[in-house]
Amino acid sequence: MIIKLMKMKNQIYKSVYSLIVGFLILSLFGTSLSMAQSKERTRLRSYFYIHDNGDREISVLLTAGRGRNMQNVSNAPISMEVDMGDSTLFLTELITDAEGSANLLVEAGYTFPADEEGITTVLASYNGNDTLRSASTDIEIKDVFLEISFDIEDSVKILTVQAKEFNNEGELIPVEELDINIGVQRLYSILPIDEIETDENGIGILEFPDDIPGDSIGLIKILARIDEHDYFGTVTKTSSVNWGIPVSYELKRLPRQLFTDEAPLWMIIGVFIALVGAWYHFFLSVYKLVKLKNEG
Amino acid sequence: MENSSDLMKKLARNLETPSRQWYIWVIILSAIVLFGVYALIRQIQEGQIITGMRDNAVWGIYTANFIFFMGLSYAGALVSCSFQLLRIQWAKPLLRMAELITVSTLIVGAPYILFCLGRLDRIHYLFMYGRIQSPITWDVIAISTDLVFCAAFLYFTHIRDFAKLRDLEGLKVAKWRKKLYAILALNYRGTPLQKKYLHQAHDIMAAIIIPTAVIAYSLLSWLFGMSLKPGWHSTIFGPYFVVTAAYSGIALLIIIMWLYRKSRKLEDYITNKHFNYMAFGLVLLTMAYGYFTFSEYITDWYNQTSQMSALLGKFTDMSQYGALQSFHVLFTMFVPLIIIGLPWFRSINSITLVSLFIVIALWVKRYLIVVPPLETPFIPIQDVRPEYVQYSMSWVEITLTVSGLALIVLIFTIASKIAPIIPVAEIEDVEDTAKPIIRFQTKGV
Amino acid sequence: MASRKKSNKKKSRRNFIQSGLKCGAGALFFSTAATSCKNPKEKVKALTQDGQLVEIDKPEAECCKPATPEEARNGIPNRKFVMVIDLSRCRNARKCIEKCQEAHHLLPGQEFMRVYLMQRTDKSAPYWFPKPCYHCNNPLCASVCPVGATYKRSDGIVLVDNERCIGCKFCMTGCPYNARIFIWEKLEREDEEDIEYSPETSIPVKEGTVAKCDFCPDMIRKKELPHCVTACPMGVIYFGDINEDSVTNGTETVSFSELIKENDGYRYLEVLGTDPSVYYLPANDRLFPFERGLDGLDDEVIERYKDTPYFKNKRNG
Ligand code: SF4
Ligand code: SF4
Repeated sequence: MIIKLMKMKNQIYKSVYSLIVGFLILSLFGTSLSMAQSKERTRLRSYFYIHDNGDREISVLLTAGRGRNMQNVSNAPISMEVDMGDSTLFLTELITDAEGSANLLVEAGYTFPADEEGITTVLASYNGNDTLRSASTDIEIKDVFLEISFDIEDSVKILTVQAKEFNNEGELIPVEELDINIGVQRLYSILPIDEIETDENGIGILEFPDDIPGDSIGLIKILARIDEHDYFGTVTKTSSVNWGIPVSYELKRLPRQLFTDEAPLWMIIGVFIALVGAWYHFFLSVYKLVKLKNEG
Repeated sequence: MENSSDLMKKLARNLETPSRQWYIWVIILSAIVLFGVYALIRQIQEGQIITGMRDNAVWGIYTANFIFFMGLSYAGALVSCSFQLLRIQWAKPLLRMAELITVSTLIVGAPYILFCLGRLDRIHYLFMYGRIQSPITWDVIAISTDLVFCAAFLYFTHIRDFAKLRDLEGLKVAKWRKKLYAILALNYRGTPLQKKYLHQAHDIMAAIIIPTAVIAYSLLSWLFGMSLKPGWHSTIFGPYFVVTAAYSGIALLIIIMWLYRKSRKLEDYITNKHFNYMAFGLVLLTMAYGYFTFSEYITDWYNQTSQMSALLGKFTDMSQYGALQSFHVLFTMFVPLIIIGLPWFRSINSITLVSLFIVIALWVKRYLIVVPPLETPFIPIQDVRPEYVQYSMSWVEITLTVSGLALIVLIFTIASKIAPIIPVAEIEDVEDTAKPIIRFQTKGV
Repeated sequence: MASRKKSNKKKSRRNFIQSGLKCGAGALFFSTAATSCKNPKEKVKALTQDGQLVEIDKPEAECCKPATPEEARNGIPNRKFVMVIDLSRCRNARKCIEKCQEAHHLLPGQEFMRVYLMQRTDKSAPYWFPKPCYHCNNPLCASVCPVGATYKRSDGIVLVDNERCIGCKFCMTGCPYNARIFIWEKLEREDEEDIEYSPETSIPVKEGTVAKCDFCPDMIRKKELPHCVTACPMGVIYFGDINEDSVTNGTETVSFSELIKENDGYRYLEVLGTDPSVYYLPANDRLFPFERGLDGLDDEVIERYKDTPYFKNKRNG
């Protein structure tokens, strides 16, 4: 039994080994190939965001090279088109910025041509040049509408998020089984609170915790966010509510703090008395000398 | 004792046109001082990088010198003022020396703290932005007050001698000096009223200098005591520093007595009796100092916090500070007790020699107060640069120390050309000042 | 009981990492937003409601203004910054030090952040201990400064005004954590000529004065994390606002109080009463064996640790 096991282990090792070797050879081959062509591989990635105000943003990132040598490509023209099945609709050409990314902002209310499920496919492509190969990517996008509402029941804070989308008749219908992250906006980032899933009415419910500090009146900015959904992309919706613990920004004085600009009163008085006392006597004795001089 | 006018005549001879040797001596001393000035200029130009101080040991012998010289100064003030107030007759010939110690070491010592400053050009910020909470501010106030007071007191005690010099017939000095004496003497003619005013001025100054000196030196010790550093953060530091100061001051006074006695042939005025009394005081202070030192170390030794153990370990390790510490302990506690405390070896010369060692050992003690605790922080030093791990003084610091010493000697040399080193009038007017000023009476039967 | 506590903790750590992943996209989004700070004139294309294509300015963040001297003294209103250092993740990669030195124009030997090799007792395993300035809430350094060149602001940050510092080094002896360095040498850098000094940036470095970790208030004003936080490949350092009870290491954002509570956070030498703003999570369950921290170091750096009790014991067998 044990021997058999050992053998199996050996076999596994062997196969893993050959896999690794094969992979190494392949990758060597690959690099030499690209060297021969002397054109760098490029890669285009796309992201879709729906902002708080309903604006949508399609963001593409162009990189060249692989692994550690990957670099962002700036100043590259990226053409953006909508896929219409047998034809395409040219939208615009973007130029990548210093970080290799380019953004197309689509204002709320503008509608794209879409398929029967309401999904639009956007194509982004880069044509390449003498040193870089071409690259393209597509991204499916669709609008979703999040609505946050706040209720207090029996002093329990209930946060409700409702998600809706258009059906092909142009009516708003609830979105089911959508994962939504709830968080609170903090200085740098979002403090995650919990994750909720929408039910058949498109509604997700969360009992909001009591221990989240807000500002001086307890106001907090709550975010509901869908992360990298297949076609909704990353959707953010924010809403402010005074559910936080009010924070007092008043600086509390330590009982013996000495680091501030004001010295403790006793110290000032002490120094004052000591100095006045000492210098009074000094001038007293000088005064005696003046008298002495006038005597002579 | 001789008739007083003879005394002044005799002593005034020292004030007359200086000899060749005197000039050579002054030139040598000035050269050393000037070299120090050069070192200081180099330091200002090149920055603190040319000192031995680095992160960790951010203070070095400048700070040690600072507390050392300030200690001598406060001791001089304490000695001269209390002798003055208590009307101690036998000590009269020593008063001027003690006062000169006070002023000269103060003038030389105080700048050492400035040499530690990275930005001497911003020194006025101490007044522009001064914060009362900072021990440095306390020190700035205390030291400048003290300097004014002590210089004033030194002058006060000179007035009658200036008057005598003004009136001395046949004093062979330059005209301007005669004029100077006349101005400085403030029309003092020795009328009863003038005597009264002068005594009052003296006594008031003396009475105010004593607490000023004690407070100032305690404040200085709190530069260290107020920190959290093991080895510095010690409640005993205030009184300990004051006792240390008195100890070093008496020892220095003995050395200076000996020097003047030899060089000026003052055996008649600085007598065996003076050495005897001062030596007695020295023994008392040895014991007081030993007591304080013992209680400082025993408390840390007994409870053995890891931080203090590390520090004490350095003090006993011969490859670190063991040698210096042994030197300090030997010459501030055992040697004085044996040589001066026991009757067999006690002589003017042996007392002086021991005093010299005491002064040196007390400088070493100051070094041991400043440097090793800085090298033993809470968070262990992990550094390979030797100068960051262990302090060693650079040529600049040594130069400035030596020239500081030279400057003190120079001040003494010049000061004793201006007025006699023995306060003639004090000795002469014994009867007038015999009445103690302290009136402390309890009402009732 | 003990084991339960452990498993709890494991769970919470896993949670954090998960949430970290979740925030990944967010972090990316925010970082692209932040790039607008550097290039305020940049344009983006926008498709308007009625299908028009227009070019609009990327929104210029108001964070780009450097602080006025007044602001640099008073601090960022209504904030109180804290840092949490997770010792179980540190493997002495020293990226924080390098980035900090670069940003603050420091020389190789001058480190605001230092990484120590520490051991709780000589029987416990050693660990790496990054140490910035603790921005104490009761800072002795600021108490003893004679000219108010070192000061504590309302946002908790302790800064040095190198244009006021007289270089007395009293604060260096006052700080029990040896967090301060002195600028011993004059060194002129060409690229510093037209940089205007601010205590918030600590550059240009001023000879003859004292410098230390400043929590990068200039970065905070740009809504960016301090350099050490972003430079750390291990996510060791968390930074945030204690008023918001939230800290982040750039990838994950967690509740400060929970982090400290659940991981038994502590402060170094709490007994001294300086009330630091920097907390540590103990080096239990460490992600790397401690020896990994010695890999790939300069000899000079390895030498530093040779006198620690750990290596001494090792040498003595
Ligand atoms: S760690 Fe040191 S330098 Fe930093 S605030 Fe505290 S006492 Fe000051
Ligand atoms: S070195 Fe500068 S910051 Fe430090 S105490 Fe002195 S003046 Fe203040």
